[in-house]
Amino acid sequence: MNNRFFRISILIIAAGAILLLYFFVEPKNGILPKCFFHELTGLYCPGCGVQRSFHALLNGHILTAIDYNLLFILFLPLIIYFLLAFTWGKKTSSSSFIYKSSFSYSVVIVVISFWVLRNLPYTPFSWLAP
Amino acid sequence: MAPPGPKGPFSENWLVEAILVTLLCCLPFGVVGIIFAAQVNTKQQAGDNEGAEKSRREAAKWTKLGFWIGLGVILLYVLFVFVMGVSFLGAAGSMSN
Repeated sequence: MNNRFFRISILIIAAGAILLLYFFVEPKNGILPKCFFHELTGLYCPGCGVQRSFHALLNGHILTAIDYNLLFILFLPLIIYFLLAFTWGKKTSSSSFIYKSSFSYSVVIVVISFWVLRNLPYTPFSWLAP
Repeated sequence: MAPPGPKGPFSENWLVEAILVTLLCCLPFGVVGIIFAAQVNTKQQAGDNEGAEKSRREAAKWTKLGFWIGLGVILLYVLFVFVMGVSFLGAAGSMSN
């Protein structure tokens, strides 16, 4: 029980700090860390644009958020659910969809395709770039 | 009585953690983690518990590696910005004097 109290406190403090930071700070002004995969290679990684996307989302610009990183917006419900479940100490049922091979292999395919496609300079794919 | 279906601990496959590292640390390590995480349940369903455990450990290894490297880079970056900021303020201060 103490453990749960500890995790809930940490979640509230950390989530509060992160929400405030990304609500107010504009990632494009260069204070926040940049993706060093992009700095090194010039290519976009699957996570490039997440900070700008999160900033846009918190300020209510959902379409802009999708434009910066579609994958992040798709995974966000899953991420929020598992953060909350972990904090509450709820064990994920072994029959949950995240333990299905079909789901995990779909994630592999989606992430790798997203990584490749957003680096292609052709019109339908370049929309995926941040 | 044991429930039907695949045996063994289902507690972790590191999938969500690996997705988080991929998206938040901008590191290819997370993608490697996702691939191993996907193998865990496939092997478990095939009855290969030993292989599943091996994949689970690999998934954990790559995800943690990505997490710590990502955190290290972010901390170095924060330190760098802080030092730059201090020296900039110092320079500005000496210029105004």
